[in-house]
Amino acid sequence: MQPDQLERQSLERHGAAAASPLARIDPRVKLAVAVALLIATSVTQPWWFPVALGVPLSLVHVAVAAAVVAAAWSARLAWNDLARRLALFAIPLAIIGLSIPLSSGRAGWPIMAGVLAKGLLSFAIVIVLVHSTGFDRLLVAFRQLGAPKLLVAMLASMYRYLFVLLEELERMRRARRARTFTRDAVLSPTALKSGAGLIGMLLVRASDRAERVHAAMLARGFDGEVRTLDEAP
Amino acid sequence: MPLVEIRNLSYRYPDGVLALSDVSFAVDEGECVGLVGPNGAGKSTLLWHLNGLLPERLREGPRWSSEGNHQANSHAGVLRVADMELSADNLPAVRRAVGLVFQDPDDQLFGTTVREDVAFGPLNLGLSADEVRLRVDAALAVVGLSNVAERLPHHLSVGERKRACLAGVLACRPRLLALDEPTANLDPRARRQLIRMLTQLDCAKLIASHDLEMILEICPRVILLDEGRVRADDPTESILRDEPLLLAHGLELPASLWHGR
Repeated sequence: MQPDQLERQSLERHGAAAASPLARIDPRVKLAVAVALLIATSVTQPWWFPVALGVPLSLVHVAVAAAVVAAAWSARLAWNDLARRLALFAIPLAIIGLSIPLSSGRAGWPIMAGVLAKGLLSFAIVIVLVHSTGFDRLLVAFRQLGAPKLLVAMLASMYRYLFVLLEELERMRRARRARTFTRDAVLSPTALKSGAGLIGMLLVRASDRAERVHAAMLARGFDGEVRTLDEAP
Repeated sequence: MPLVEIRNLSYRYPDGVLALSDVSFAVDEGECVGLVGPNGAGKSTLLWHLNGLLPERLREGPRWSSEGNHQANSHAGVLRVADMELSADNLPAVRRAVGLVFQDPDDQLFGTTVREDVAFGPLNLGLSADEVRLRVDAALAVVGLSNVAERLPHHLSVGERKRACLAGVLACRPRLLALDEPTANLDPRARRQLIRMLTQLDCAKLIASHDLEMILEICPRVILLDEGRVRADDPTESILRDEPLLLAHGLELPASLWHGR
């Protein structure tokens, strides 16, 4: 993957969103509202109202969904982009959720649908928040709202190295494709074995990278205490 | 008193590979020394020692042995930086004196923004916010990256990332700059920019590189390392013109010296 492709895909590249009405709101306010919406979404019990539609959600969930749609529109988030990201998230969520009806029978299907809907709604809130704010500004807002320094530092490192690992993965995939001379089905044993090897190798490389990053931190005086410019004496 | 003094340094990795064997040399204040040798010669291992990242990052207390006293047969010798013998106790002071620039800029640029990253070292020095800002702005100006201070590191080009790494180390104002393959993966323009920058720095420099043209241009002295041993330590031209010596140690004559063959 070329850096410009990564850039297009990166979570904080919000293009037109940077000038959107939602982007102009203080990140701390957006973060606080998003956290409130996430809590409301997760703690509210399903209610009878949308059961008729096949999804056990409460009026609170419907209200949150409406707020997300309005925010996405205000943030100038492309609907197909939102749908694509939600679809990517829905697949693993649905696979995990399948364990509910498989273990509890027919009564588990509405529960699974509720979990799926709540999960997608929560993910949509996060997408809109990141799209309209930028991850780096969100981290600053986290700190200003009193989140633990270590947690914010970990999130920052995770975000920083996500792109490095994605580049690494793409290089390995390209190298594998260059030496793959047959066309196996996606779920064929050969393809699965090769994919597992790729993931294993990525983990090894990530571990090596972590060692070197730690060494680089020590080289510049890191002693376990996370210090930031806005908190210096 | 030299800035860095290494005597009979040996180091064996935990897997048994002998990386350094009886290495001795010194670097004076303000001196610029090239460190050349084939892959696996021990150049990076040596640089990591200068910064106290090896042996095993001195994590478990003062395991460093002096005067040839072998501990667990893994490391031996004397390493003195700025008149301090390397030990767990004076590690912070040694790291203040030696700034290490890693080969892969992605290993070193872990800050959320370029400014945050460059501020990392000065903040760990316990400086005031005003002093940190001054140092960050000055270091970014030296490497010509003032205009990208607020950008995310993964949005920079490789050349810019390398310069940002250099800024992060310069902001700590080290007395010795240890650079690991500074020109690797750079296009000619970025390489030239980096060379120009390095020539303008007053601090001592130890530059490990395969870029013999760059070494020839900026280092008056070269140390040739192979299989963990110092094979030659002389003025740059005398080593880089010695074709049999270079070929014997996996190197070749720099193109700019071909005419004299």
